[in-house]
Parts: sequence; C-alpha cells; structure tokens
Amino acid sequence: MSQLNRLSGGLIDRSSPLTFTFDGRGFSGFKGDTLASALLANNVRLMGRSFKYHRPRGVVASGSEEPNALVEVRSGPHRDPNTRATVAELFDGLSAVSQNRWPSLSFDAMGINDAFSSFLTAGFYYKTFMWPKAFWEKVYEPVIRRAAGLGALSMEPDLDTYDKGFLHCDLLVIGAGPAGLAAALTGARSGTRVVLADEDFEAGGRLTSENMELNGKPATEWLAAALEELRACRNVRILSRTTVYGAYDHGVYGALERVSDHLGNPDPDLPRQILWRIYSRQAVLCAGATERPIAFENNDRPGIMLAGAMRAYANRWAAAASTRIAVFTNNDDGHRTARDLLAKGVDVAAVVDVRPDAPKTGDYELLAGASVVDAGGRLGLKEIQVRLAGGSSRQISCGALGVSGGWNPAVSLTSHQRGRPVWQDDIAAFVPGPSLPSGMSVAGAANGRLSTHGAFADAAEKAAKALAAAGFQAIPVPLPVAEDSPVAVSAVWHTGEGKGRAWLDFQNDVTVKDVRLAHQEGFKSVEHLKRYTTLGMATDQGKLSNLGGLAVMAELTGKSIQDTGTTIFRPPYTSVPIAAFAGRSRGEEFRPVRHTPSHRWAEEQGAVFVEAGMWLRAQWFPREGETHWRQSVDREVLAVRKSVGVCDVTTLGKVDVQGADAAQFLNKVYCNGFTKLPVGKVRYGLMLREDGMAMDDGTAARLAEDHYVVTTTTANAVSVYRHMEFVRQCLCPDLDVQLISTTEAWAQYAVAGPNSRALLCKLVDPKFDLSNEEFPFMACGEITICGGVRARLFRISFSGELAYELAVPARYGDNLMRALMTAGKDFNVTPYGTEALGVLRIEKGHAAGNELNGQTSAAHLGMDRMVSTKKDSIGAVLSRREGLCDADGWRLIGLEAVEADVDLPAGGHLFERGKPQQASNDEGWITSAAYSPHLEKSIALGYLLKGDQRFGEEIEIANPVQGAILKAKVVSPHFIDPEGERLRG
Amino acid sequence: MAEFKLKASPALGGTAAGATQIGRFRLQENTGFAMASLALRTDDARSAVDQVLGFAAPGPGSYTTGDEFAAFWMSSDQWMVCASHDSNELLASQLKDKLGEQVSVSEQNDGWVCLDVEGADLSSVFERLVNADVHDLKKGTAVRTVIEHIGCFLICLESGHRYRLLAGRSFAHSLHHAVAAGLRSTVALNKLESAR
Repeated sequence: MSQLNRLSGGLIDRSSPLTFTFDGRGFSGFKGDTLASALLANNVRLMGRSFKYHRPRGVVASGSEEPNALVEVRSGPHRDPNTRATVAELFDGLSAVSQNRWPSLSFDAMGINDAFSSFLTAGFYYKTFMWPKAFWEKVYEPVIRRAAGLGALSMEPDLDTYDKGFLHCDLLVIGAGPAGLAAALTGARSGTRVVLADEDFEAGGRLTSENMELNGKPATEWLAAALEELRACRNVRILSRTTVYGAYDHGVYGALERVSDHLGNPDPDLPRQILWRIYSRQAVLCAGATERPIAFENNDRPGIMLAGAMRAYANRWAAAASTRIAVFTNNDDGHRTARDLLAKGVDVAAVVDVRPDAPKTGDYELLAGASVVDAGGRLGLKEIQVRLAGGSSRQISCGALGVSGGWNPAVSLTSHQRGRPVWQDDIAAFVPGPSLPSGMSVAGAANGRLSTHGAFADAAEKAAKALAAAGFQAIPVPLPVAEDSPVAVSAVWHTGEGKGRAWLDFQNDVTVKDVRLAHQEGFKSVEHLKRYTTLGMATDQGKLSNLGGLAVMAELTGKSIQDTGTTIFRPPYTSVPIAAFAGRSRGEEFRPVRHTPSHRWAEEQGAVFVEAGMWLRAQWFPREGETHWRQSVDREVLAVRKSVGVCDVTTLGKVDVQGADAAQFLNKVYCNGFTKLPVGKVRYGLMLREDGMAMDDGTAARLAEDHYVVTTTTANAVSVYRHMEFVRQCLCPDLDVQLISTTEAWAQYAVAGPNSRALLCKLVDPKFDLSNEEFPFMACGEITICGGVRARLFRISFSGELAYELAVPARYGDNLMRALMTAGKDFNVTPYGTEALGVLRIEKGHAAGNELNGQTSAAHLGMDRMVSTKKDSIGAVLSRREGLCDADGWRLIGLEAVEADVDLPAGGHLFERGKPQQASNDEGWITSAAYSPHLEKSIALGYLLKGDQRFGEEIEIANPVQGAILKAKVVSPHFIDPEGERLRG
Repeated sequence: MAEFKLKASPALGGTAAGATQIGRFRLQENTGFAMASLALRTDDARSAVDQVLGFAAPGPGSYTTGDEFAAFWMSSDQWMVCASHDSNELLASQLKDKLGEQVSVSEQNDGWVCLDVEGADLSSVFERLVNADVHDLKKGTAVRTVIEHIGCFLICLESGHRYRLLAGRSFAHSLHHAVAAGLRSTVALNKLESAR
C-alpha cells in the first residue's frame, strides 16, 4: 500500500525505505518512523481495541504516554506484548499484531461488550458476581480475564538477554528536550560528569516536533550543533532510548535502556535491554509535559488524537492522520497544530475553541466559544458534532481531530518519594511540589515553564544551582533566542452533553459517567476513585487520564482540584520487563555455583550432585548396573565400614584463628573448654547462641599455641564466621585474636574405614608416623605427602570408623583425589557422597544440621555436660534455663523400625503407643532417617521427651502426609560401635 | 622417591589456565600468585610490616606493589599480601618468620581465583558488572565489590586497560562465565555503536 498520508519534510530518512506488516498486511515506511507514524502515513487509524468494551481505537499520542495503540511485536519466545506503537521504532521486517480482539481488529466479536455497557460500569464485578461465592475464582474471574485484557505473553521462556549496569555522575539530566539540553550543556562545559538520559531514539524533545526557530534558524540546526558538542565531550554520557523510571534514595535513579528492540536481527551477544542504576550527586528533571485530552461523547473514535501529537506526526514524521482534520482546543497551542498542518497542505476543516475570545492565528475557520460534543465513525472518525457559541449545533466532516486540553508537567519522578505536586492555576496543571527527592531539581515544562525560552532559561539556572550544590562552578551557556509565548488556557475537562459516554481513561475504559457513579456511591477520595473505577491503573498509569478524572470528581464534590489531590506516583514511570530486573540471574545462572577442586573428577565418575548452599556436592556415585540411588548409597556405606572410602569434605567451613588470646577466644565461643587442648590435637566443640540454644558444632584443631583451625558445617560456614567476627569485634574487642576464612584454600578429603591408615601410608611421606601411638584419635598435624606437598592431617571421624581428614592446598585437590583412588585400588577404595555420609553419621549417632535446627539445646543433644561451668561462654548461662535442660525434656534418641520393609519418615512426630495422635500428646519428632545397610533396617535419630530413659519402648510415629502410623523401638542413638573402639583403633 | 606425585590444577580446571580472547579483550586465570593474609596484633608492628613489605601498607581501597610483594587492604589492620608463587610458595611462613608474634599470618595461596582482564576501555565492561565507579578507578585501587552475586576484589592495574579480579576459588567458573559474558556483550555493543 502506498503511503497516502505521507507529507513533505520531516526528520525521517527517505533514502532508507523499510517494509513491515501489521496484522499480516504489508506496509512501507522510512527509517526514523515509529510504527504509529508509519501506520498513519499508510492511512491506518484503527490500531487496537479497548480493554473492557473492545471499542475500536486509534493512536492518541506520539510518545510513551500512549494508551490505545498497544500491539504485540516480535514472535515466539521473543514476543513483546503491550508495545506502544508510538515508541516502537520501525525496522525492516517488523511484524506487529493487534491485541485483545477476535477474530480481527475490524470485526471483534467481543465488541458485543459495548452493547452491554450499562451492565459493565465501574465496579460492576463487585456487585454482579457476588453469588455463589465459590464461582468467583473458578468461573467469573477467568471469564472476565479472558474477555477483557491487553496483550498476551508467549508463555515461553524469554530467550533475550538483559544486562544490569551502574553509572556514577555529578549531574544526571533526565530528558533531552530543550531544557535537558541546556542543563546538559551547562554541566558539560563546567567539566562535570554528566549523564543525559532520554527515552526517545532522537534527542530534542519538542524541538523535533515543532515548526519553530531558534536564533532565527530552524530549531533542528541548533539541536544538531548542541548534540554534536555533547557527543564530543568525554565527560558526557548520552543514553538514548533510555527511560529513567524511578527516583530512589540518595540520588539513585533506575533507568531502562532499550538496546536492541529497534533491530530486526540483533547480534546474539547484544543485551536486549540494560537496567541501569545511576548514582547521581545532583539530578535535573527535564521530563517535559504531556498534553491532555478533553472528554466528550465518543471521543475515543480512531482518528481523534492529541493536537500536539498530530503536530509531531506532521512535523517530525511527515505523517497526517487524515487529509482533512479539525482541532478542538481550550488554549493557544491547538491553533499551532492547525497552522502547522495547513502549512503541510492538510485541509483544516475548523478550529473549535471553547474560549469565546479565542484568537484566530491562521487561515482556517475558527469556531470560538464552541465545543465538540460528539463524534461519529465506528472504525475511524467521519464527523464531529459541534455545539456553537449560540447554542446551535453543526456537523463537521473530518478524518482526524486534534484535541488540546492544556499540558500537564511530567511530575511523576518528583513524587516517587511521596512528594505531592501542587496546583498552578495559570497553567491549570499540577507542578512539582516543594518536597523533592534529595538532590533533584526540576526544570522546563516539567516545572510548568511551558515556553521554549522558559524551558532553556529555567534549565540553565537549575543546572547551575545543582552544580554549585555538588561543589562545582557552573560555566553559563549562551541560550538561543526562542519563542516565549504565555500560556493562555481555559480549563475545560469535558463538554458534558448527551447521554453517551465521554472517555477519560482510554486504556481502562473509564468514562465521565463512571466517575459520577463512583461519587454517587461514596467513592470520593481519589484513591477510592482509582480503585473503584480502575482510572489510571493500566500500563500507561493514567498519564493522560488522571487529571481529567480527578477534575470531574472535584466538580462533583465542589472541592478545588488542589484539595481533591492526586493519587501517589510510584515507579516505574513506564513498564519495565521483569526480565530486566532479573538481568542475567535466571535459569542455570540464577546464582553462582561453587565447585570443589575435585569437581571435575567427580563429574567424570558420573556423580549425582546436590546443591548445598551454592556448593555442588556429590550425593552418590552410581555404578554400572545400579538402578536405584539406594543401591549406590548402600554399597558406599558398606565399603566404608568394610574397607575404606573417600569423601570430599572441602565444603566444610574453615576459620583460621590466631593470636595470643586465641584459646581464650575459643573458650568464649564454644561451650566446652579449649585452653587446655594440647598443640597437635583436635577437639569437638559445640557453639551456643546467646539464648542458650545450640548453634553449630565442629572441631577446632590446635596447630600452634596461638593458632587454631576451626571447622564448621557446610551450611553454617558463613553464619558461624559472622558470629565469630561479632564476638571478636563487639564482645571481646580487647582480646588479641585475628580471624580469616580459609575454607577455599584447602581441599579436604575424609578417608574413612578400617583400611584408611593403610591407604594414607601410601601417600604420606615416610617421615610421618601414622601409627595409633604416634598419631592417635583426635591428633592433628602439618605433614607432607607425595614427596613434599604440604598437607594437614586430622584424625577425626564422622562415620565412626578409623578415619582421617586430609587437607592439601586446593590446587592439588583434583590430583589428590585421583591419587587416593589409584593408591586405594588394593583396598577396593570407594568414593562416597553426602548420602552415604549421612547414613554413616546416623548409624554413629552424630548430630548434624537436622539436629541443630535452632530449637534444640545441649541437653537435648545429650551434651549438657559439655557446657562447662568452670568458665563463661556465650549461651552457657541461658542454656541452664529450666526449659532447656529439664530432665523431662527432649533427648536425642535412636529409633529402629519394628516392621520389616518400612521406612521411618523424617519429620514424623512421636507418640506414646495407643494415645490419640493430637498436639497435646506430641512427644517429639524424627530429625534424620536412613536405611542402614549395616543393620539392614530403617533407622532414625530424633528427639523424644525423656528419651534417654525410654530405651526399649515401642512408640508410634504419625505420618499423616503419607497416611500411615508406624511403629518404632526407642534405642540408643549410637547404632554402631557405641564404645568408640573402631575410631580409636 | 614417592610413588605418587601431585600436579597442581588451576581453579578453572585442566592442566593449564588458558587465555580467552574476546574481541579486543583478553581474559586469563593467573595462577602465579602466592597469597597470605597479614593482620597486626599490635599497633607497634605497623612499621615492621612496612619494612618487610618494602612499602607502606596500603590504606582502605588501595593496592600497592613493591619489588617482591604487593598488598591490598582487607580490613582494619589487615592486608592481603601477594607474591610470585614460584619463588614464594611459603609466603605465609616467610612473613611469619620475619614478623613473629607481632602479626597473624594465614596462608591464602589457593583460597582465591585470580582473573586478569586486559583490553582497551575496560570501564565499559565493568560498568555492567560492578557497582563501583569504574570510570574513575585509578591505578592502585582495590575495590571490594560483587559481580553477579560473587563477592570479589577488583584491582585496577592500569586505569581503563588492565584489571585483576580476585574471588573465592570455588566461584572460578561462575566468575569467568560472568566476566566473559560481559566482555562479549561489550564487543557487541561496540559494534552496534560503530554502526551508527
């Protein structure tokens, strides 16, 4: 289709023709077009359907405030619904589809809603769908959501990438219109670091949209020179296609840069968008102003748009909405549209101005003191009905109507920290209030200075003040000579005739009648009005509609608009995809992964991994023929008990504790004593919280008089270190003690089983004697292995077997694991994972995270005698509270399944046999459960009231989740080698 | 002669830490570091530390290099001392021997992965990786920061051109992936910019 409504001139690049489709139809446009401007040039006025009534709608605005022309662009997982055609840059091959219609845009079956509009007024669903209650969630809401809505998500994972970024500047300038450019130039010439962010892909704001002169020449000449200067400044960062969407504390702003949305086939490494966090010392908001409509009956016909937008389409994009247009205005600005369109050769049918004394400024018919009261043309405007000054009416034929109800300064960002805008009568609009976010100033149209000269002058002054506040001397910028017309506006919000509907909020289908209904039903506060009618709740956040809605409410209540007030403005100013907030933290990259040094070796063995915090730990090592994880785990457990196994325990936290008072410090953080621990020995330690509850357990090895290495559980490595630092810095600042984590510096392996010593002897250098006499249970030492590699050896056992933990510098970890496997072949050495580790420790009755869950004490663990009374330690006093050490309280016990082939459920609650299974009879719970291949039965650890006095008793386990009651025998928690002979062997 | 010999592996795995060239950027694991944390036990030890290092121990946010050692500030009265691993594998005990009970020294040789990044205008990469003011980063700055949830130090070796990243060794792959992704997207962004 040829571009019927393409005008002459404009800032489009006619040497770069582009093709695109809309609802499958092919069109052409030019580089520099938006989808909306190209569609208008192609004589397409119908671009969407409304939210609730499915009314045919056309483009209203020319910027991000657009409520109607929402389309879906791109396809498949790249589909982007609710894209405003007014900001979608045209590229070759662009494919756009209209939304919220079926089967087609011109014939939408859901348009039937419009016929039932009297039943679908504000709040209808609150009243209509009251009964039956259960239907709301399953029937009513799904049906309403299907019938009313905007674009649809692809329901596929978004394949685009999104980056996050951080910028720091002395001066952030938000908006690159005349005010923003003046502020940026001031900052640039003053040598400060400036970030200039603008949501458009062409800087200039209204300078690109108006037919105006600066210094007696076309404004675009001055604009080009200003941009050239700014681009040449190394201290200026220009972010185009970037919307500053939120103002946060301490001069921090959120901004979204659309990097590749305008590209047909972007580089796969290119982020689609970048979410910037901008740290500014000062910011000048130069966000401009938004024109507002005037409501009248059927004012939503496709072809009715803002007069300023109509002018922008003509001047910037050389596109007209129709070959014959009219203008409806309450201020001088509407006349400018008529003049510019006339100059472009468009037929101007009339200018309808509500002001009886409206000036005639061009060669067009002026209907002063008149109002547009109705419009006709379902799929596109055909005529308007005008009530003339004398009261008679006249029908005027036209294909487009430009409406100007005055301009609203874009105050949103000034209010993101609860600042309230104030009413300024002379421009009939809200302007920023006195309470602005810290470091922000507002200039230009955003500040109510609506002339071009006013914008330049205001911005230069505000920028100079901002720079002074940041400690810089501003260098003044010569400002161009520009128009300085006063604002002449007569506030009119709606023409108020007829029984039909006059739209205030196009996107959410809210009419003047809806506001009247809200008032009638008592929803008079603007916040109630918003919730009851949904005014201003859609993706455009009421940029065009809010003021109209509250002005109508003010009329009804008799209050002033200032007293009626605005709703709260919150970020984001325009929509930000959730994916942009996520950045690269999604899918497998949701968070970083920590690998142990021998991770690659474990992968080669086919290990099945489990996440432990950010660590990946081998859970078990399946072998050929094993079809169930239990087979692998049982084999690994038995191998440890029978010969020798190796487990990667690098992930355990390791804290290096040094200083003259290191022993005293450990005495403070552990409930048991550490001062008498000899050098070369390890001791098990229990840490308590301040409130006396058990916090973590581990070991501390004394490598020298003033040097210990503390180990923590994997899960608590960070929290224990943090706790120790708190004690060091805040509770014991006078102690000479220094801490640092060495978790990652050492690769550590548990070598466990009767043959563990024999295996280690093959690697440990001969000068180190590992005999029981020289290196007994709980010994530790710094040794060398494999011909001189430095290592640390700890004779400690989590499994209950003769066992060691061998640590080497992490760079040797992978090779050590391979050496252990090779050296251990004679002993059928078996790598084992965390599952087998768990079974082994349950068999031995060793507590772990499940038993140290924050609600248990040393007494509950059977370790009350460990809490030394000979010294003070954190939590010691409070651990002696009656509730924590009562002899009738919980005690750690073992449980054996009574019935064969029954798995005891972890988490199951314990009850005395025959007692009703209710909370008042609850006697404890199972903390850890496993199948013991050694005992060939299901066993568990748990807490039971007076458990240490009930060995041999048969109790019942409630398992309501799986609907079963199981029987178990209470036994000692030490299923294996209760005397500890194996580990001392 | 021991029956088994252990070979060292870089944090990124394999036998050699290979360099990755992405456009004009070069990303490589640096395995040549010995590291030790050094903390003062008494204020009096400060001058002795300066003497051993061969330079004044750096203040907060700083990284200083000398003939044998380099060091960056970790926390109050605590530094990370770096030296060549080949000649100083026993760095911790060397420092301890020289400074005795005035200080606490912990071996950190293998606790860290070190990634060196080189190339023109690296600030344009790091502005999308860390929240530090990378465009204002001077040579000799050591910033404690976070890259994609990984705590790390960013050390400026040459403003805009050469940076060093140090993070927990276990994060090596995730950190390398994050930085490489940042380098690739920067190359793509630069291409887009030059096409304008």
